[in-house]
Amino acid sequence: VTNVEIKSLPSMFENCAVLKLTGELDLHSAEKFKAAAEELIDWLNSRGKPPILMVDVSDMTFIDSSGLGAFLGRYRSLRLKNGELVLIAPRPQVANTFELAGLSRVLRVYENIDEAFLLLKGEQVL
Amino acid sequence: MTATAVMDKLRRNLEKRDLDNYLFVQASAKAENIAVLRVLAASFAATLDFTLPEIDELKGAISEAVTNVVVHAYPEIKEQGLVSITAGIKDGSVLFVVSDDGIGIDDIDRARDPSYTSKPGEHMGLGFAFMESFMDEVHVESTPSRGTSVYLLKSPAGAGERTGREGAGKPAGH
Repeated sequence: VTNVEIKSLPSMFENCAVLKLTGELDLHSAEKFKAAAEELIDWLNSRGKPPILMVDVSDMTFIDSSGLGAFLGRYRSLRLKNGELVLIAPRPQVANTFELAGLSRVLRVYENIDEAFLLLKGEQVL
Repeated sequence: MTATAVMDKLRRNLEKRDLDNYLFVQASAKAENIAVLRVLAASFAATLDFTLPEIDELKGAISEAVTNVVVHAYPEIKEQGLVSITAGIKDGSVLFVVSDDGIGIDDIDRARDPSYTSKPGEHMGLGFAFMESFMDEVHVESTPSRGTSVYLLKSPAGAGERTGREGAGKPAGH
């Protein structure tokens, strides 16, 4: 698979949306991710509480600096509303690339969606 | 031998076509071809004894080099420019040359600086930093309005140890 598939997953919290990315994220496939994420962020922004976007990357097999740029752009739009961008279950290659760019220091990274829900709820972010 | 010396040797081998294996591919400098080229390059390199993480690094470096061509090389050309990859394998190392006939790079040192991007916004300026991190050696040659060639060298990290332990020319056991 050399392209990215995007799926919205149900969330049990009204200020939170979950996107699942499958495949490889580069300059080409990042356009689809940006469009889908911005649509969800617009919807979350209408909900009142600071928006949380979770991106399940457990089946993302590759990311380059263009893919990271797409995450950085979404991080910035969420932070404008005091929101959070949450990365779920990155594989080692993907986690390493986020690490190299210093992005793992600004994004929240969790091992699975349940853990993310639990910890963010504990912080009263959700 | 240092990575720089291996790079120089492979560049001479490539010029003379004195190689164990050779690849040349040319494609439109379009975003959808970035995946095509990194997968092809990784498959070519996988004929050597690279580990899977090393192949991922190679894919990453090729993706960055080709992305630079797609984003920067042909800003004023309405019809699509071309990107080519020439690759050679010799004595267990692989050299990739990612080339274009585009506008060239005015200041190569500035382009390689990780804090610099000519297109602020969502371009992070990390392309060369990633290439340097993923490969053993990176060399850039560019002539304004003639084009740019990026040379990327990689050897399997465990090749020396395995050769020493198991005898030259024998593949590592799996």
